[in-house]
Amino acid sequence: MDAGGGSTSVRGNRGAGRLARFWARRGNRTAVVGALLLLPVVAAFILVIAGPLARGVILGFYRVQQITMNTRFVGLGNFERVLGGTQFWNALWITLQYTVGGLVLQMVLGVGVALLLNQHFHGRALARSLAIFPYLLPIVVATTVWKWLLNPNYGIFNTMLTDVGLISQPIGWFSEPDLALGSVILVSTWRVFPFVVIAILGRLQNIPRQLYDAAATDGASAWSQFWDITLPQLRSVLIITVFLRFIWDFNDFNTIALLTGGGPAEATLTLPVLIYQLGFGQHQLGLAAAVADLTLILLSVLFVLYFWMTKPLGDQR
Amino acid sequence: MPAEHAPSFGRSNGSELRLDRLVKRFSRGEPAVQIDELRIRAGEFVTLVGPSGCGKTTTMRMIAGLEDPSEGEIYFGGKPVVDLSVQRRNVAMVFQNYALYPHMRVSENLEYGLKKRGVPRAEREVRVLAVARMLRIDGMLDRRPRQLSGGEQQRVALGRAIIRTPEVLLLDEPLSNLDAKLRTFMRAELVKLQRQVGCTTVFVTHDQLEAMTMSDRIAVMRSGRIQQFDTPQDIYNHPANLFVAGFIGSPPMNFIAGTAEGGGGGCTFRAQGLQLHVSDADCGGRLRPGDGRQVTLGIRPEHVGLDGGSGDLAAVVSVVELIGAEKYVFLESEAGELIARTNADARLQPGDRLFCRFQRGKIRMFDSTTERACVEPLA
Ligand SMILES: Nc1ncnc2c1ncn2[C@@H]1O[C@H](COP(=O)(O)OP(=O)(O)OP(=O)(O)O)[C@@H](O)[C@H]1O
Ligand SMILES: [Mg+2]
Repeated sequence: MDAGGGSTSVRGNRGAGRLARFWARRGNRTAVVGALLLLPVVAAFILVIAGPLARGVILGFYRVQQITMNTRFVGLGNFERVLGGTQFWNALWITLQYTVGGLVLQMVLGVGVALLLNQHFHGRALARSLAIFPYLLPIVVATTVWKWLLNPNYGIFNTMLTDVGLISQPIGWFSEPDLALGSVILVSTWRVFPFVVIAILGRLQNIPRQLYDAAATDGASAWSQFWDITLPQLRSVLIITVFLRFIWDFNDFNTIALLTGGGPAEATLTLPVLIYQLGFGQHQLGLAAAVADLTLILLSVLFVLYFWMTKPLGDQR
Repeated sequence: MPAEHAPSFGRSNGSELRLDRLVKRFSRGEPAVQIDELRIRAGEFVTLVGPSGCGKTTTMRMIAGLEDPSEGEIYFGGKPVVDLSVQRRNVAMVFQNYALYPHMRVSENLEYGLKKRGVPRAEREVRVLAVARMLRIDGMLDRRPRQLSGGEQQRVALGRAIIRTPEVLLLDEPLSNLDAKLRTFMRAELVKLQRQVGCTTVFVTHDQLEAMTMSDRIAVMRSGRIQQFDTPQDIYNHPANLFVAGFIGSPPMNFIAGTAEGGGGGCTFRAQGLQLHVSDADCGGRLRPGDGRQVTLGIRPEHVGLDGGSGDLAAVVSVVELIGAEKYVFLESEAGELIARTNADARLQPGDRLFCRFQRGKIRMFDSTTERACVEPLA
């Protein structure tokens, strides 16, 4: 081979040669162009999402002056105060009750209604649209209507219960400390279970009918068919639905703020409401940011664990 | 270990399957299925064929218990089963797209039916292994269906059906998703397996070759009704009516509409450009005397001889197709278009003028109004 001449000429500009060879390969060229095209999106992401997020996270390490908005670095001081007091832990416990309680109800109700709506019956289309209705209602309207229905003075619910004789005097569903959280959970469930219905129903309609025929000839009862076919087929959509609903309910501010504002006496004071009260009620932005940071960490850890345990990508279609 | 020496996992005591005045209506009007009687012997392999939408699947689903008949009764070995739910009939069905349980492993797919029928675990394991060996899927028991090829999935579906040694095995186009080579292979495998297991089998296919080669008997259906139920040879050689004659056989039988005169020992058939004396022997049966004068003569392409000099009917070659070992010759004549089958080295060109000679003994006659065959096969 003509090794001598070739090697001297290459040695002269080895770097350029390598670059030329790199550029000559189509795959590499595509990758470079692709990266360049992605740049604006990455920049926008940093500006719009990562920036504010980081700002919020960092705020937890500062003390913020009420009027001047001057900040002073306090290290872990805010976190020490939050974790040392009872308010955070109380709010966390209420948040978990609100989230898990609501989640269980939503899932049971959602799956149940989805199964019903998947049956063949007259007026199914109408029933399907009606079931979605609560989810379409603006949250302000929904909460106002429920506050009105459950009002101790003129609410139709109390009137009905007293008329039937189940209770002797009207109940303050949102004002009794023992009842408020439960009432809030019920209203929230009523409002959002259609989301679960839609998600589950969409998947149910895609389960091949022949699987049920095969299971029936294999001797599976309707009950067995539900456990052995329907549930495993719903697995991935259930995992995603639980994930989304958990996050949304854990971070839900609107429902509680509109129904009870966290009261009575902190009985429904969840973390998002607490953050709001600290930040905008008591003007302690640093403390509020610390609680928010803790919430973020908690949710992240929870969901790393969750996805590690459930492996949603291993869906068996 | 060769499959022949694989341990057997048990034989089904396949039972006689009888459909009695079975009717299925989905809506008002013509029923989707209307079967006066169909009696399938214990252990027999019967194929249902017919055009799309003729009610094959519906019939199978009624036998399985997945569909309730509107009228009539179904008997397994003499006992009526229409009032038994699917779960309590001893049938198994292989679906066209296999319908394997996607979230279960192959072994779990195979044993599911046994599990639901309360067979203890130890016995289930033995049977799963035996069936898997028999179908040569024992190497993939831990896989999931989507990790299998079409042919492997098909064998799992079969295994899932036969592992329970059902009285009746229903196969709804189980080979239609396979490629041609695998189909040919599985055809033989399936027949072997059915003999081995011994369950009464009803098989649906669109493929005539499958029907002809695999079945003990074939039931030809049209518009929900059984047209003829006979052995493959009899269906082919003595089609009961014009529909069966045209449906079975590829390329299809040639038909020439004309008139028949005379009767008792033979007749004279006349059509445009054709006059033919057809004796009883010529049409392989006894021509029924007094049959209507409007008749249709049927002759299969392989029974049309081509001759340059003389014959029954003058014709012109329009197209010649070479199909490997033989040629299909498309002809035009005064009596209409005809197809002839010749061997591959016949020298023929479009435009050639020649004569068709109908092989005596292979001519079939049908009444043009009732469409029924107007001969009775000689006993
Ligand atoms: N669930 C149903 N509701 C209404 N009509 C039906 C139903 N199932 C089948 N049919 C009708 O009954 C007739 C027979 O259908 P079937 O599925 O038994 O045909 P097939 O012979 O299996 O056809 P293919 O060869 O295409 O599978 C068809 O006209 C079909 O439209
Ligand atoms: Mg069908």
